[in-house]
Amino acid sequence: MKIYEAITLLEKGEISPLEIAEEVIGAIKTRECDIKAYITLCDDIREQSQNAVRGGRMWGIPIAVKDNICTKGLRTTAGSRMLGGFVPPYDATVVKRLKENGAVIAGKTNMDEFGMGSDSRYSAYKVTSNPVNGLYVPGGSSGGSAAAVKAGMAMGALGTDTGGSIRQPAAFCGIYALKPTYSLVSRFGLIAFASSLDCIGAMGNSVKDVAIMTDVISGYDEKDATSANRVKEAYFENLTPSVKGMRIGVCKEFLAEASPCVKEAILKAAKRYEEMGAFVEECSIDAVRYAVSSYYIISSCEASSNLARYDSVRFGYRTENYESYEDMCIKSRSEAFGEEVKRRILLGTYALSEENYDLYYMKARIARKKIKDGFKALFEKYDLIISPVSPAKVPKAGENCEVDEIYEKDVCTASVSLAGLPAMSVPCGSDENGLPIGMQIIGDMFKEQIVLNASLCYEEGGFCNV
Amino acid sequence: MYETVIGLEIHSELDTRSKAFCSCSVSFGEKPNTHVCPVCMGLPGAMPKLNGRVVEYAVKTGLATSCSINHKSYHARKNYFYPDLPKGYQISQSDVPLCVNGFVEIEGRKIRINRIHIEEDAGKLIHAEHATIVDYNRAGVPLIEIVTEPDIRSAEEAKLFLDEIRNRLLYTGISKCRMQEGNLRCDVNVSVRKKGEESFGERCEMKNVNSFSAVVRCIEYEVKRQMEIINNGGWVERETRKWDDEKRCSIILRKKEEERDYRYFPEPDLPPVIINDEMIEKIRGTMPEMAHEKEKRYIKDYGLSDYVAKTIASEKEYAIIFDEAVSLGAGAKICANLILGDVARIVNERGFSGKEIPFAGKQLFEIAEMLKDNMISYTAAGKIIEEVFDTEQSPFLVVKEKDFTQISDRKELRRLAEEVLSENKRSVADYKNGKTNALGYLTGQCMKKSMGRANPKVINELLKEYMEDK
Repeated sequence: MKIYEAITLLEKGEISPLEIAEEVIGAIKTRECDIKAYITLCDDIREQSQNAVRGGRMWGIPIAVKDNICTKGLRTTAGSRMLGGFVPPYDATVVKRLKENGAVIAGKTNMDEFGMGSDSRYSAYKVTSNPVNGLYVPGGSSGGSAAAVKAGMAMGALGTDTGGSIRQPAAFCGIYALKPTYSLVSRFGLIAFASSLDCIGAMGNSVKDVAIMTDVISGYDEKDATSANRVKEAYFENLTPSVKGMRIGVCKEFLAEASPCVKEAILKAAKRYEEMGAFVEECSIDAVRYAVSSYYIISSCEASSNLARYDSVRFGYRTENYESYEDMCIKSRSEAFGEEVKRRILLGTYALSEENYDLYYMKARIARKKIKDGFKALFEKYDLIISPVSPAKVPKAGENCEVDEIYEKDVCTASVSLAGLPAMSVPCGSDENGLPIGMQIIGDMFKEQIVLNASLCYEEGGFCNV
Repeated sequence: MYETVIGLEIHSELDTRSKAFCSCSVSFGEKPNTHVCPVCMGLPGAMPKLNGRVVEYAVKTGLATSCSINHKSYHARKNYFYPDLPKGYQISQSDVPLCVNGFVEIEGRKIRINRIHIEEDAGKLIHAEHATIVDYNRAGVPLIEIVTEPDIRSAEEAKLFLDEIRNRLLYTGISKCRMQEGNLRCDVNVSVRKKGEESFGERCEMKNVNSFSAVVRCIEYEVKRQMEIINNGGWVERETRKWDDEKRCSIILRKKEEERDYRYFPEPDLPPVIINDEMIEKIRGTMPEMAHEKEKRYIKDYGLSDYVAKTIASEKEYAIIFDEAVSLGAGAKICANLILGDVARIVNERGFSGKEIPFAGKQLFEIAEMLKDNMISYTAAGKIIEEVFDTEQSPFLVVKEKDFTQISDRKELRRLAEEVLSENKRSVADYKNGKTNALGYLTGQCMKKSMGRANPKVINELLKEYMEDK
């Protein structure tokens, strides 16, 4: 069942929150043992649904929350051994808003440690499978959230996206998800990976579901100094499934490296938009060739600093035997951080050091500015840009790849993250293995409504079914 | 001939009610870890939010030291590991600080201020017998760092500069400047060079010098150490050193190549600090008159001597009392004498130095008025001030109740003079033998006997009359 359908039924009294809870619990019982989407499952879903804020926008709707978003009294690990025992004394603003609107928290979903990874393999806890086909990866880092939504083990989910971590798993699992404009959704309570890029966003089984969740979680928050103080929009209310007269650009740089089936799916989608009344043409943004290096330098630099607080003094994992603060700190970090996290901390520390700062960090910032300006120029001509979410097909689980090859696949999503723009992942076909292909619909700053409208248009056109 | 080149970095805690990036209250001497929250403890997911008061205070400091205020300045992270630093980085400012290019004049010499920026304090380590424990109450307390150009040329000048800075911080109410509570700390950069040379010698930095007198001692020590190296034909090496004020010596912490790399980069959790001219002017409007401005006014408007003007102006509490009394119509010179005499004496005796004193300008005005009208004597005035310190009563009331009114009645005073003369035959003899200062002693005895109520002028005349006639 979709969230918007459930809301109507609940309003009419044709279904109760408990019945919805039972449906989700049933799905968890049958599918979680294979999919392994959750790090922590709430054992009080029924109680929550009975005590949920009645009349709230999302009354009785079970939502999965990625495990790097703090939940008061509920263990929050960020997929790391470091935070294996961390129970936050506060709710993240997004969780607070969900609860205030009557939502039920189903559990905390699996993820790559601290959000660093793209197939949920770098979790300290478990490996999540793709619900479409268990032999394939669910994507990442919000792989647990995407898989839970796809498998009906939650009606919707919160994910987080630093360089594609909402959009790519949504694409791999064949669901809908929106990475909002940077600053639209409060980051308070989000365990930071790269603060200038991190976004929390909604993942769901329909565009309408994503719009409802985005309505609930977005808006100014005084606890996040970077959150945008602007008039709150009503995305769901203003949804219009039309692209008539819209100007849509298809970026050639994002198609150049794509797998043939991915490229074909995107071009087909472009054609459909044209048929639905949009003006579609090829466009170009040269600066995105710096996107992957710029993204990995900036995000790793910020991560090296954000993860410095895990010194085992005040919270988190602490090694057993140590002789001094330094010894304790080194041993604890060595034992509790995984290989990918260590790699990024080292990369970031190196790039920020005095002798490398100008060479790497500053250059990466300049590149970021160029990418931002490139998109700005494009949005003077177009309302939307479309591209693949991932240039590659969904990989099989257990396939080993070189690190730089994995990083390269982030080009379409990382470019958008660097520019801080909103982008939706929408299913647009499947590859020869029967796994979903995702289209990325990118909008200008704070133009979530247009992005959602175009996505809805595509969904209602019946083109999304995998 | 060599000369000393000194640059200072002064860290001052701001006297705000809450911390720089969270709403925890700023406290001193409270139970450890009772003034903390997820933000200042650096818990995952917690985010900083800048306290507007901190910006206001930092701008005030900038205005008090003739700085330009940057309309847009940025926070930066200073990264290093230390158990008292909750986040593994300190939020500070780096490339573009809030205030730049100021100066402070010290005896006619301009000491340039390079920059003033906002940052947060760290917690405190407490070394117990078998463990080190951390108190995070201080973590996140707002600080400003004032960085001078290398314009100071002696330990003495450094002391004068620090006194002046302390004074301006006190005047503007930015900081309590209590050294013993760590409100004010100093890093001292010292180098020496041949006089007349343009370039600087290699400098050494002394970390965390905790009192002004220690700054003087550490500079003197460091200059001696560097001169010895040079005189022995060696080179001074760039070092960070730690001043041990108990042992009166410094020890090396790090050599140049071991310097920490703080990996500064822009703080992504905070937007830039934006401040426009209107806001700056509004803050300027709340600035009190500074000590150096008061000093000039006292000399010009009231004809006080340089010394008296400076002494009153440089003690904020004295200046407040003085200004209030004079504005009520009291004579400036009488007030100045009372402050530097009895008030200062009582403040010292009772340990009120640097604190708020229980004596207001209105009370000083009343005493000055009574003195002017010959209602009381100077001696009585001192006693009344003591009484006011004790009871915080109006001096008019004190005089009425305790009867401090001056006795000018000649008949009564004659009796007093006779009594004193008969009890002090020796002094009378001395006076007759030409030791005229015995007169002062005898007058004093009369004052004492009358509890300060005798009119000293009349008693003086009478004593003279007696001794010169007989």
